[in-house]
Amino acid sequence: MVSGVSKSAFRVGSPRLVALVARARPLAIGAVLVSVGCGDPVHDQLVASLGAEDPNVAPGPTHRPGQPCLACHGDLGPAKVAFSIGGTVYAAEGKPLPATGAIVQVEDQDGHTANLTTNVAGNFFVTSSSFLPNYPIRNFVWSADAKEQAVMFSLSNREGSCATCHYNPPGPNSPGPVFLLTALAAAAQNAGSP
Amino acid sequence: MTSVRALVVPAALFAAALSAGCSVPQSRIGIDAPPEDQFAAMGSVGDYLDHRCGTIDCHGQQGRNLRIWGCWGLRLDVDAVASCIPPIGVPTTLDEYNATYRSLVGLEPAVMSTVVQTHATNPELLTFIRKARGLESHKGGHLVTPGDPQDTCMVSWLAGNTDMMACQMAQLLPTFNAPAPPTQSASP
Repeated sequence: MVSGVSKSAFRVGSPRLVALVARARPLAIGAVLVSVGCGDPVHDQLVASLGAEDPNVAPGPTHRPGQPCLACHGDLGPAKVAFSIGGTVYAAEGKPLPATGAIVQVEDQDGHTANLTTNVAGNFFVTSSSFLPNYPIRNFVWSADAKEQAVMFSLSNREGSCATCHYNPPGPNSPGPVFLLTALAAAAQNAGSP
Repeated sequence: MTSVRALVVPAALFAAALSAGCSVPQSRIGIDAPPEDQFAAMGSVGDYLDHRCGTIDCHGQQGRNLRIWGCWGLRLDVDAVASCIPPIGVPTTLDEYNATYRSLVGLEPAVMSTVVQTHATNPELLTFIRKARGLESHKGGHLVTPGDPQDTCMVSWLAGNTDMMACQMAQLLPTFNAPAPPTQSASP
């Protein structure tokens, strides 16, 4: 029972009901617009913090190396394709050169494995529809000829973007970017090459 | 004269009250907590928590209520690197063990006291045990089962007698297969 309003006042087609609906319509439209605009401000801030695209690299598999892929390619978008895992591998510790053709091997605790090959930017990814790991996961990076291997010794408990934890400079919150060869191994390889 | 007395009397009363308050012997304000030395011992509870819960994507973050420091995650020293592997990383330091201990013990101090006083007969009073056992919503999921080495490690510590063997076994979990070297697959 709504006080002060008789049932008969709201008969279908009654002038009072029509007037009420007309008055409420802008409010309803406003409410819909506001609710559409209400995203997750933390996520929105994260996406904004990544900045604009590099004008020299078209959006696609080679864009934004070193950035946390799932910030945009996660469940909250704004990218259309959702990844479960994504990142960038560098050829050697402390160097900005990408590791092209390296293989990132991801294994989840159920024994499901994905082998992901890095592209010319060092980027790799897998869509959520192709591989959805049951965390925790363990990660390895192999050279294209599978002769060199880098192991991630700690578990990854829930984060699909490598760069959320692996970024420059190495510090108390990051071990630094993902690389295939340690600085020492890279120097030894360089010394041995003709 | 009257006005001076009006000022002096309250001041004297206040001073008396203050000195009476100061003469009360300082009693210990604290909680009953599980042993700190057993937490920080090598291969013990601190190392297990660092391995299983303290990665940077979980409790190795400044913003978490239960904050875990250690070489597999968040470092206490601003000049340290989040790695256990030399030459860039160094093992977990005593200060980091102590910081994690305080973080964990201070999370629910009154409940922690109760659990310790009762020798962990009901460890599930503590949120961190309920979350690890999957009895309460936990982003990291259901991690331990009562009686397994991980659970035994934590509960034995709460009871005051840490099962070091269980803690060391817990650090080998979860187990993974050893995947074969990969063959080149489809490039993205």
